[in-house]
Amino acid sequence: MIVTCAHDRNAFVWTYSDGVWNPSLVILRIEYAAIDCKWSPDGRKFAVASGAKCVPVCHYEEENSWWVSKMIKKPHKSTVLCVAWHPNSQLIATGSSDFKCRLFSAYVEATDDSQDMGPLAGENPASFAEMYHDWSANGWVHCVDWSPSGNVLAFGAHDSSLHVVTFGGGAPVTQVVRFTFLPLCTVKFISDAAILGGGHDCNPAVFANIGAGWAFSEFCDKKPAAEKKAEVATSGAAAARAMFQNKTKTGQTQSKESMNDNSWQKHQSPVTFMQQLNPASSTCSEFSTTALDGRIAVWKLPEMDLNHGAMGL
Amino acid sequence: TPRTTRVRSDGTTMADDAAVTAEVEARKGSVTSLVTQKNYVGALTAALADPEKVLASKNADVKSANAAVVFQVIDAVEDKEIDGVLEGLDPLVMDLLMKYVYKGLSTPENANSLLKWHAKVLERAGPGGIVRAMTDRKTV
Repeated sequence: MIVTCAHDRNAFVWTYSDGVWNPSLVILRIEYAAIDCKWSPDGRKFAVASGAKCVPVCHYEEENSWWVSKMIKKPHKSTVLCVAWHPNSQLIATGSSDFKCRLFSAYVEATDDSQDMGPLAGENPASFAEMYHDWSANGWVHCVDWSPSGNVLAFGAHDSSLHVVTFGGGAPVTQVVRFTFLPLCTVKFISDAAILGGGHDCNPAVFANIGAGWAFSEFCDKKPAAEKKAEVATSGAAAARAMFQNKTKTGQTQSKESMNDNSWQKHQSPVTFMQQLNPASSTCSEFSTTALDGRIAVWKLPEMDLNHGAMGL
Repeated sequence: TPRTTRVRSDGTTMADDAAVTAEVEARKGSVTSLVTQKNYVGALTAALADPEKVLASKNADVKSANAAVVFQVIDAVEDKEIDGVLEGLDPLVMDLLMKYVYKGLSTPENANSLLKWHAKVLERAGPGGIVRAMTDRKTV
């Protein structure tokens, strides 16, 4: 099944039979756009992040053969931009444009067996839509993701920061990584010790936990070694000729080498989404990225020039 | 309630303002003496230390007074010494400095030296530092 949602305030669940995908409308009961939707890991529920400051969580009701939505509303003060299900399918983390990331209970008695507290083992079980924790950032929280073990939560905010929250009995511990490049739009754990962030630098960035805490490690896309440098004319008639030649070749007045040329990158526009491609496992060996330039790129981690040991791969 | 502790509509009190004004005065005193001794690293660190009260204040005069203390250090440091002064500066302090550079660039005075500082801070803090200076609701 595929779930899709749109700014037209609707969501559809598509089922495949006889070579055709059949949509079935889900009544979300929201008055504003649906921004993001995610299946729970067990595939029995899905959550929709919406501009109506709420998160409808939908499960299937057999008697009426339709998807029913229950709302997680308070205390979102603004649009919910992203949602992430915990591996136990009963906890949801949301990121909102009110600068906060929140953790809610998504335990639905009708679909779930018994309540599993996951990483919040010592705390009082809460009923559906009650909030367990919240964390603040200095910008919109664009993306949120859980580690494969479910013990670590990471969210990226628009102030060029990545917040990593570790649950380990007792109160959750947060570490904020403030990095030097542009904000992230999407975040994905590739193992329990490494996070990939894709954002406005058009290049997936690796953050690794190397004992002393989480820190930015390296970018995935590396500039290939410079080929033989062409001679750059700097004076008189030769320079003028070079300028016009470059204008016709690249549309800029300077030569490619002297500009900040990023045509060597796989993506030329902000990376908006990342997805693990290898079958479900606790480490990612292959992932895809999509960007605003309309390209989908597939990356094979073992073949890439990265510090694999530090990433726990 | 006494006049000094009555809470105004924006959540501040006269006592808060008095406390932060006193703090800025003290900071100005210590920074001026450090600048005269030509200890620019110490002066910059002192000027940018403990910014919480000034950031939280809603009083524009207090913020301008504190900014003047920071600009006092920026004006005193020669262009070729900027690298030395920024060396080893804590990343959070670097972000705060970037906010002050932008505040200074909002008026035409000292644009030349501020632009040089901007370039040097940008080398270290990157575009992420600019993003944080722009997005933080707590302004200088």
